[in-house]
Amino acid sequence: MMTRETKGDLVLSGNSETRGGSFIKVAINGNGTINGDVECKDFECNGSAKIDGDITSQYTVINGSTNIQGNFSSDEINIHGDSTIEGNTLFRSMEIKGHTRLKQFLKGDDIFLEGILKIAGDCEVEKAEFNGAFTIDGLLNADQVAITLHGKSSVKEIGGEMITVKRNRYPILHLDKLIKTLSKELHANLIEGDVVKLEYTKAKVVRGNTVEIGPGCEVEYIEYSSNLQVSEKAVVDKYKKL
Amino acid sequence: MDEGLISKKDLLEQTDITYGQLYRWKRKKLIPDDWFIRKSTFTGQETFFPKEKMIERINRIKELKDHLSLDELANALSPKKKDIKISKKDFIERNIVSSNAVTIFEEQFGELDTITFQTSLYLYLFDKSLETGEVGWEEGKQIIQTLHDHFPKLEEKRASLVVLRKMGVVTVLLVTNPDDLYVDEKTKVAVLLDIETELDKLLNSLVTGGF
Repeated sequence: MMTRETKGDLVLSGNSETRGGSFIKVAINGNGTINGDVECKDFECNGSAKIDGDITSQYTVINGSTNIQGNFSSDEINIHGDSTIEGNTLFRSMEIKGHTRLKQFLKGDDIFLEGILKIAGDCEVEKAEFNGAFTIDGLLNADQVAITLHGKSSVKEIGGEMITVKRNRYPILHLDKLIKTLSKELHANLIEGDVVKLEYTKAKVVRGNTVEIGPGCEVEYIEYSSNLQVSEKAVVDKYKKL
Repeated sequence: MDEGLISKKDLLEQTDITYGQLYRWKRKKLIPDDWFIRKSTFTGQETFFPKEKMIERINRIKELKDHLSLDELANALSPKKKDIKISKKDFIERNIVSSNAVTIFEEQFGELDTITFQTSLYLYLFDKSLETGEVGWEEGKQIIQTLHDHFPKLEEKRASLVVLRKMGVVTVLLVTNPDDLYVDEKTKVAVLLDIETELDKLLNSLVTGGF
């Protein structure tokens, strides 16, 4: 059942399928499929949606589950449910409180995660705050990277200015129910930053100006130029001052 | 190790920049992704850069970053954006066109201080025409005048610059769609330049020159 309320709005309720287009507001409340590209100011999904095309919007709220087959570009993205994006994702700010899988790269200003995130490509942002568990197959490139581990996470490379990795001290209840908390640690091939502070991180190479290796870390090789601190509860195979 | 490459570590040391800056510039596309070259070394994978290009690019970014925002810088460095401005000195020093071409241009349009992309294209086409040996300096001025008067009207259309010579007199044409062009037997096509092709070549030499 599909109803167009006022000109320019698309509201899908119940079990429905429609074509894409240009709208002011798009709301999907039931089980909806859109075949084609969607362009709108507000995009809201409270049910289960599948978009067989690109989404371009200003504000996006996903409370249910959404599958976007194309590229996703939105100034503000809020995901409280579950989403899969097959294409590239572009945004100014993105907040994920739920579970999100991104099959290509991610590019934006700020990203805030409280949940589970998987990115198959690179993640380029100015500021990344990750609380939860994540897997990034490419490079995480950000000025500020603040990671609080709630589960097993991995990233191929991290590069930036200020990089901190901590294990959570104050559990976020709903998160720890969601994520298997067997091993709250981060695996990385390479971490490079001006200031790098790590806990519970297994890395092959860490390079930085100031490097702090905290408890639970295992690092094969460190290069630093001004300062290195290594916790007694960490294992570092080799290090070199430049 | 390849002599033309520099490791990331050596690059940071030589140019006195930080990881934060390097990664930020990569994000802003001030440094092309394909300049990041991965190689295996005894410490695992390392990143190398084409040494000369990279050092020149970084010096240029450092020079400009106090006056321009990073986004403006990205425009200045990206070859796709055509709002390039080059100082006359750099333009001549980098041998993009002959200094004669610049002199003749100035005779006609007055002293050049900075050269816009548009002007550099006119200069480049003019220089290419002179290079053919079919066009003299004085006649070349006709080319510049024609480009100046009419090229902006072509907007984004694909066009060619044609110079015809008949009985010692030249005619300059700017034409779109010049796939078929026939002239009488006493007329000679002295110059036929596809502007888009020349524009790409010009962009290339500007980019490799570090603009």
